[in-house]
Amino acid sequence: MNQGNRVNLRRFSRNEKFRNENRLAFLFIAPSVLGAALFFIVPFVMSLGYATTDSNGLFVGLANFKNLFASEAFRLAAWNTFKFMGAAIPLNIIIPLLIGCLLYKSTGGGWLKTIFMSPLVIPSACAAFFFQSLFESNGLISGILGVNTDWLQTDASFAIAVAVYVWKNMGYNLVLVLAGLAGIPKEYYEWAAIEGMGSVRAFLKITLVYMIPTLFIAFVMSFISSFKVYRELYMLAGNYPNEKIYMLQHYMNHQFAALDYQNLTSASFVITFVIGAFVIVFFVADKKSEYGE
Amino acid sequence: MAAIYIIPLLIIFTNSFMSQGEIVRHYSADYDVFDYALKGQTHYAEYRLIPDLASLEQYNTLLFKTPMYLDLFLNSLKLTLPIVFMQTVIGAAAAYGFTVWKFRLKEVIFCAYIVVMVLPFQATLVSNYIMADALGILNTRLSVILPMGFSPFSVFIMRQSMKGIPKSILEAAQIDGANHFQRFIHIALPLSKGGLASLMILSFADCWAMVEQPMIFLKDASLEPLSVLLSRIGQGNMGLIFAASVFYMLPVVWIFLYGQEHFEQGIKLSALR
Amino acid sequence: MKKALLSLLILALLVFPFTGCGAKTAQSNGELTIAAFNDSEFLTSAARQYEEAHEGVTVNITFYAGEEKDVSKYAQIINTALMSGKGEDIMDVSRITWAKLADKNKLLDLNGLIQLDSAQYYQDVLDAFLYKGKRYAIPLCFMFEMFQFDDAWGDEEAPADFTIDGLLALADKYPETTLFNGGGGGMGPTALAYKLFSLEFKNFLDMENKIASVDNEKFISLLQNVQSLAGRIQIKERGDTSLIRQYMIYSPAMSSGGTVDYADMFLMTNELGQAGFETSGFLPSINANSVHPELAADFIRYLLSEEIQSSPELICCPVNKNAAAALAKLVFGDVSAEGYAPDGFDDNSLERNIQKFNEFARQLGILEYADHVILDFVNTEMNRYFQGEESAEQAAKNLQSRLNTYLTE
Repeated sequence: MNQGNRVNLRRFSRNEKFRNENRLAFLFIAPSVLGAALFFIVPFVMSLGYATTDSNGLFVGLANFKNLFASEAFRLAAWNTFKFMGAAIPLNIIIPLLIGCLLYKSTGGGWLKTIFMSPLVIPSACAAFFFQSLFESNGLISGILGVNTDWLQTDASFAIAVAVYVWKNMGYNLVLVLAGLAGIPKEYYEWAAIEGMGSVRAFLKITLVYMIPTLFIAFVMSFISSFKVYRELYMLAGNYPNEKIYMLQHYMNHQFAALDYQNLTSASFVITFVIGAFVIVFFVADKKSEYGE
Repeated sequence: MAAIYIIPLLIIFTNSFMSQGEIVRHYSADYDVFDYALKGQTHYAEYRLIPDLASLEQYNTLLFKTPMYLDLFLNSLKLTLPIVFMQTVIGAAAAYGFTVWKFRLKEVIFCAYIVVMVLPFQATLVSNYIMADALGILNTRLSVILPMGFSPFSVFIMRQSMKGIPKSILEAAQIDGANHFQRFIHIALPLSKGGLASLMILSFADCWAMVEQPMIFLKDASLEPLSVLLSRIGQGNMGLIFAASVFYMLPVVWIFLYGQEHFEQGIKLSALR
Repeated sequence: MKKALLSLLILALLVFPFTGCGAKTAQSNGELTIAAFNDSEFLTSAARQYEEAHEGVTVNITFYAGEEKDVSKYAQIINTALMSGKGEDIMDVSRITWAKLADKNKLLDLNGLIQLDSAQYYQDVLDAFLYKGKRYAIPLCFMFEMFQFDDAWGDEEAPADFTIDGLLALADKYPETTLFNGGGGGMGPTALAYKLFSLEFKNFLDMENKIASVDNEKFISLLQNVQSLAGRIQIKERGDTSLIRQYMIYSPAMSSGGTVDYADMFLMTNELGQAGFETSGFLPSINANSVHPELAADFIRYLLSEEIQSSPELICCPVNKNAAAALAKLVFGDVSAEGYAPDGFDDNSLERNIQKFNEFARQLGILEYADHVILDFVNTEMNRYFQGEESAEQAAKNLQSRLNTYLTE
């Protein structure tokens, strides 16, 4: 009996220390959480108010959302954004991966790395200028082909947008890939060589598997950057570009300029829910795999 | 392929030494600007790496005739530095907290963080605008600094790098009697230098190039940063843009070069979960 | 943790009422505010006269054009003001997409506030501004283009209907001749194409239902027809003769070429016999946020009254019929006193002109240059086509998608 009491006492005191520790740790997180809540979460909830009322302040429930989906402009923007991300993000991961593997062996990597990173530093106006001088009706490409086409106004504009994105963002992923490759112990490749595995199989079974964490980060960064390409697109093609590159950001910006809070907030909600759903799915899958390990 | 990358950079640099007339000659659409006999034919853009006539005309105009450039540069600094500072401090602290805190809601909050981080800023734009209006800080620098300073992105990066810190070290310190604060400063931070470096570099580059937020939240022309000016001048004045860009890029390039080492180390560490 | 969440929720609830619920225009009764784009002597002096006639009322006009004359910036300002519940009582909506503002109930229907006797006004001009049956803006004056065969082709009679087909027939009949003299508005391929486009505006753009129908044979053939005339559309050097002379008509007595006899002039019309007109300058509408719309309406009524509309400071033709006639007589008096009247042009001719003018005015059903965004889209696309950068089909497709996006946003 006495022993039991003693044990309880000890556990109690450990728990107490535990809770104290936890509270202290909370202090570390507090500023970040409060700030994020104040500037992101709280006003987001507030904007729900706008999303469910019309321009006169009357409650209309989901009518704004219905209008949103009925709007061809929104549907076009959403579809284009989805297509763009589907094309650009994988490219932005695969191309650096391949280049990284090639570069990894060579020693000239250092300079090339810097060069590939340089587009991140170039201001959007200059980047836009270059792509424009390449693709406008009297640009370099038109000159080579001897025609008079403004490529940004044709269906090729989609490819141009993807090209601009990859050009700008590839460098960062390349650095990620190279660092990730450096983290794979050489012994694995030696073992593969001993086992007689061809280089392709070695690539698939070793490189890819151990690059997954790196590739994940590359994916997240690419995802975030895919929205930022709007800046260059805007400078290249203006407010209402060709229909192949009219994206959600264009739509949202126009709504904001028109102070159309109804459309703006409902669009924000839709985007957030879609992205949020993806993130949550990923997150849960990630956690599960962690526990599985 | 690397050529595609070097050329823009070099062109910016060398073209900034060209006079305005020369730029028009190389890039404009009609021959007739200079040679009437060829009027009507289309002129295709020519790239020139070496100016026909090197001139400091652009720099002259930039630095002396339009002295506001310096103000804009300072504005950019005044926006970027506080943001980077805030993100680093708050992000590192929060990342540490996430690492050692044991609480059910932890993952929920972190998940929410990721969602907010990943959203395009247009989705949170109206939220930020409403908040800034309510707080009365619209048209002041704070309206840009505060939301960016609390960006969950910094927490994400720092947490990735702190995950790589072996728990044993922290526990050993705890047993030795060090409290959270000491453990944070003396152990966690030094071990996540890579993460810090990459955060600072990315954050700096991002804020330095920020265009939409200042345009929307800062109506006063006196507050606008250099990035906004560059995006606004437009095609008419390419020479000036080139010269301004050279200056614009200097701080970022410097930070990149300086931090590249730490940066890569950090990525290596964060990659090995 | 729960406490923190709860306090956050309370904070949110507390802050919420302070946002979004805009304050109405807080002006004391008796102060009328006006937002206008271009400077206007006419408006300023009319405001002064109104103040003198009505005690206790002050009229404050803000001119937003400034030096850059940036319409989109002005549109932005108007938009912001209206959306946040503020803004001047009367707003100048010329060149802005006021249809979108009307959809959001930011402008008042003037039909209820201002009753206009249709006999006294050029009703067709006024009715061109009807939108979904309501009247959101009333023009103060208007001008339009009329055409006349050059003396060298004296035997050509002024056609009753002059449509694009008529123009093409003429072009075939007189190959090698330049068609227009470029006076009045200037006429490059894009300008001509835009003119033809706006004549068919209702077929191409249904603003009320937000539908654009440009990607079709009609538009493509419009472009190709004008292209076939390229090179002959406008005279290249002064002194050359052209088949047709253009005049911009500002009043029954004045045109861009001085005083001319309207006897053998004709309008370019669409198949329905409608012609286009422009209104330059102030286009008033009443802000739905205004605290005294009746005062605003009264001022607009004042601006439309015969007395004020007869003021020579009005740049184009008054919409008030009597004022138009009176102004014409006044101007003609000055012109003949100085000896500038054309030979044989006397008071009877002026009377005839006024009659002809009124007849023509009845055909003016189409407003050109209404929306600066659409104007920009169409002009840019047409320019690209005429400069050979894209085919007519491509131009039609591009324009269609742009208009679609803009309308459905």
